[in-house]
Amino acid sequence: MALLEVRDVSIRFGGVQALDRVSFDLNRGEVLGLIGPNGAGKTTLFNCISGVIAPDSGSMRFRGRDLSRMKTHQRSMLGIARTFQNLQLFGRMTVQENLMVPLDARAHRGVVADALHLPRARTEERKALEKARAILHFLGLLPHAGTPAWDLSVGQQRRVELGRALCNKPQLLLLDEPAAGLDAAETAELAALLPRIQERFGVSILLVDHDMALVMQACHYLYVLDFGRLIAQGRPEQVRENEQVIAAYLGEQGRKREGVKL
Amino acid sequence: MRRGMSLLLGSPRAVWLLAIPALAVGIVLGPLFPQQQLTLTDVFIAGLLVLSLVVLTGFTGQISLCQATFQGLGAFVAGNLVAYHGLSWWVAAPVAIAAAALLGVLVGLPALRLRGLQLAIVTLAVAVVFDNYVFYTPHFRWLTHAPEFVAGARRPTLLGLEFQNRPLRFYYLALAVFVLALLVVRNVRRGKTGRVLRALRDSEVASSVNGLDLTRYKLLAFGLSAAIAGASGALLAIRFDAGSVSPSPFDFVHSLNITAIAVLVGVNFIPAAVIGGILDRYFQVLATDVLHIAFDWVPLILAAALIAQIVLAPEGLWGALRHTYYSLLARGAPKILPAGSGAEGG
Repeated sequence: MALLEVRDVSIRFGGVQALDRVSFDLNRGEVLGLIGPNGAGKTTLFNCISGVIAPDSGSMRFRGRDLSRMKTHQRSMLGIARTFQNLQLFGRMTVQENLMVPLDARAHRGVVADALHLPRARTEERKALEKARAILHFLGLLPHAGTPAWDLSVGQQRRVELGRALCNKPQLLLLDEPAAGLDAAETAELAALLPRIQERFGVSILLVDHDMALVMQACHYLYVLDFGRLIAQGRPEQVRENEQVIAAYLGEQGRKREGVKL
Repeated sequence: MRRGMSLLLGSPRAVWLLAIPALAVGIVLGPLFPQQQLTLTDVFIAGLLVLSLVVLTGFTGQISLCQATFQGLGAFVAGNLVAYHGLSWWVAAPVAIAAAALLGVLVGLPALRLRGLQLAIVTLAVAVVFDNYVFYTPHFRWLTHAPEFVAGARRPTLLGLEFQNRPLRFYYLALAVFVLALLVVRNVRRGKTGRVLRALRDSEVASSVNGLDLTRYKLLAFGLSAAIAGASGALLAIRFDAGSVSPSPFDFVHSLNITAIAVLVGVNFIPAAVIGGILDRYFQVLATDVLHIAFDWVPLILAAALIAQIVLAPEGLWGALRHTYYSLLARGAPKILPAGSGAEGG
């Protein structure tokens, strides 16, 4: 059984078919890449899987469980974590606090334990702090633990998002353009980081990015999305040679030359 | 030396260097100025109301224009139970707080869908309905004892200490409740609950993706905030020696005023509740008696101050003070780089 099964997911925004019967499987331990031009529906697909929006039709199963009736926070508890292309950090909170929030979501104490600063609150607080700092250390963010998230560079903010996602104890990590706004050196660092994350946290990854170098290096298998439809799939070296993919990236002129039907 | 200072004052413990002297001032002020005792007691009661907005607006980023309604419900429930059901205030007050919290949760329900201006209007509507209808109509006589309203809510005793007809003791009771509420809110802020609420304020979508149930925590914020306002009301119920509660302090204009003051003093900061309480009670006194400004000008001055604050000090009075203090500390020390300067290195 695949970790994530997506079947015939479609969604329409007004006149735009953002996703058109998208189906794919993601197996445990896999790093799956999702590429496609701007507006192809990549982020929309992420929003559907994480529960930020509901698709018009189709079904999704994660660890064998139907996601359709599950709210966003329940999906997070089930082991789906994601980052955002347009950063969604808790900007006025420190980096350390950002990572503690998903741990807080899994802590059992109520407001009374906090209000009275009961021993239980202290114990849970210390555990969450240790865990957050361990992940900050892993990501090289420990020197910035006390800095408000909005005061960091974009590259660092992307890493904070990654760290926060990892604090969700994820089995599936959805990374939405993690290399956007990074320079070549930072992108190379990220590419090297992904296998380490996989090894340490045992997660499967669905990666969306425009940076071909990153996608080709990091992913085991690729899906290509264009105008809401999966138009190609295969191992990175196969996809690179695929004419439909080249056409999608070259745009209308390329399409006509290649004779791709829309 | 300077580094040592900044370490000391920059740490979370720094707050005690201000809080302990402030508490000492609070303890001696009452006996020093007997004529001011009741007004100073009102400062604590108003401070609680501002504190309730620190939780709701400051932490969680939600808007409410009906805090005086929560306070009013607390006052009527406490006053009613003490005056007509023979309960001690020590029992009535927690019931009043719970009742206010429940109303807070109900008012929070629309907040699950609305935000900003729309939420402001819904909460204002709640305030107007209670102000014009619930608190006055005989239909709710069982609660408000309208049209004569509640009278005869006696102050309690504590370990043989009588509070009735003892303004100074009541002053200390109000001070104790206020300090306790400040401590509770501080504990909440730095613990899990506070982080969760602040996360909600900064990004709702990221909050839910990171496992937070928005429904639960928004309602919690409204409930907690209304509970604090309810505590303020419970104190107000025994403010007068006659133990009378009437609806006039709970009109919606007071709700608007308290929200304006909370924003003015810096709704993101817990100490602002103290300044807010002082401002709510003494702003008018300062303007008319000390500065000899005509009474009619007072609301206008407050409005002008609010506009100036939003433009010049978006984080409010306390935020501006804090910023000034930290920039004085940082002078001479290595500069903290502004956001996004890109000079942090790779």
